[in-house]
Amino acid sequence: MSDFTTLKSQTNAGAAVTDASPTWVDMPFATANNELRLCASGAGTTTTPSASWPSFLRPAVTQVIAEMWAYTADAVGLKMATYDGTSAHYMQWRINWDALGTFASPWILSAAKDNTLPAASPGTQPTPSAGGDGSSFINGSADTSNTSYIKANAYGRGTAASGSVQDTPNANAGGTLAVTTGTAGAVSPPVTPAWLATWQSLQSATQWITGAVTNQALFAGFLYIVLSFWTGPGMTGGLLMPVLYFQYTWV
Amino acid sequence: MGLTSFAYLAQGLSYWKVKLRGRKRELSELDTSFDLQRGARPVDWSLDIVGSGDNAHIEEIILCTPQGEVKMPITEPKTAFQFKRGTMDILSNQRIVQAQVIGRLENRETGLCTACIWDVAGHDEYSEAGVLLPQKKHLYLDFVTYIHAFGAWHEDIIPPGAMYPLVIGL
Repeated sequence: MSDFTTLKSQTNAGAAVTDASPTWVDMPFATANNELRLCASGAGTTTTPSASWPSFLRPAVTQVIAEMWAYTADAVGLKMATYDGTSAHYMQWRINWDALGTFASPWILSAAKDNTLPAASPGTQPTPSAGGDGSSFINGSADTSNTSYIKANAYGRGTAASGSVQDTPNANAGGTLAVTTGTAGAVSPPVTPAWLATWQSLQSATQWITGAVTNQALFAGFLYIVLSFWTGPGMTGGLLMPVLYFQYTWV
Repeated sequence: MGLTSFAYLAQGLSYWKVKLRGRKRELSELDTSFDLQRGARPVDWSLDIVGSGDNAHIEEIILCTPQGEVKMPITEPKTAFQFKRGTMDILSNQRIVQAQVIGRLENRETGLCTACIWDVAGHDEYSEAGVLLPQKKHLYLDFVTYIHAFGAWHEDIIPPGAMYPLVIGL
């Protein structure tokens, strides 16, 4: 069959969620005032209006952005309790597809400065007043050795090419994760299955993650991913809104 | 041109058609098909071309785009292919069709193929003189690549990579 009827991202969100006991909710960001917000450790609350969301001051040294919040209204949010920017988690996000579609090639995971998905300009930060897109994150700087400030890891294949096998993690991503982590071109998580030994920078068509196989046709599955957002003295501030995307083919 | 076709093209989207040997009528993904399991449904590449075995009888594959039709003659059985590419924004759950590709496998051993691509959003391209063209380029013709490492047709996109031959019609 052709395209998937259901293909969506889900996040493990809520005050009490853990890696071992996740609660998967559809990403509720398709309507007004629904958004994902990042802030420093201890700075977020469940009731902060968007206009009052705490600024993240540019640090003197590179560091992880330690909190992520999912807001379903201007002042109604949930902390993503299993996100802290480190590699010590395994249930943060997943891509969820149904059994009605047929992949024609392996999936791709990357990030771009806006929804036109343009190429990155590695190492080039926008002018301070520009803001409004995600180029500060995507392009990186000397802080990141010109990789993206957004790092990701993915577990196995999602689903195998055949045999109705689902790859579901039960241990932390671990592996090498630093502000400079990133490999040119594509990397693929092991089919064992396992997490990538070295996290990948998500930088448009410069650095991305792709599946090692074409996932089984007409078989529902999940692809588990974990993320880490960084910042540093070389980053231009502003209202930064990168686009993370899952790319796929079908017939 | 039917209403469905007009609506498709007006949205900036494309669709495929095929001519099958020995049959007068073209088959299009905008046509309706029927089977006992699913009832009436849109024609599907997997079911109605690959699954039926008609990928061995394609005489011509056609990509219908807002800028006209692109026709590729097919002389060898099971060398015509078709696929679409889409993107889901993980933070918004919005899905878009990025491109549709038709093509012809030229060498089964090496995977060399020729493709024609409708890029829905289009891409800024420069002339040979280095001048930015006034309109975005949507239609990429005679793109030569490999089916086992399908390349990027412009520098902003990630190469699709290894296509699954049986799924796309080969």
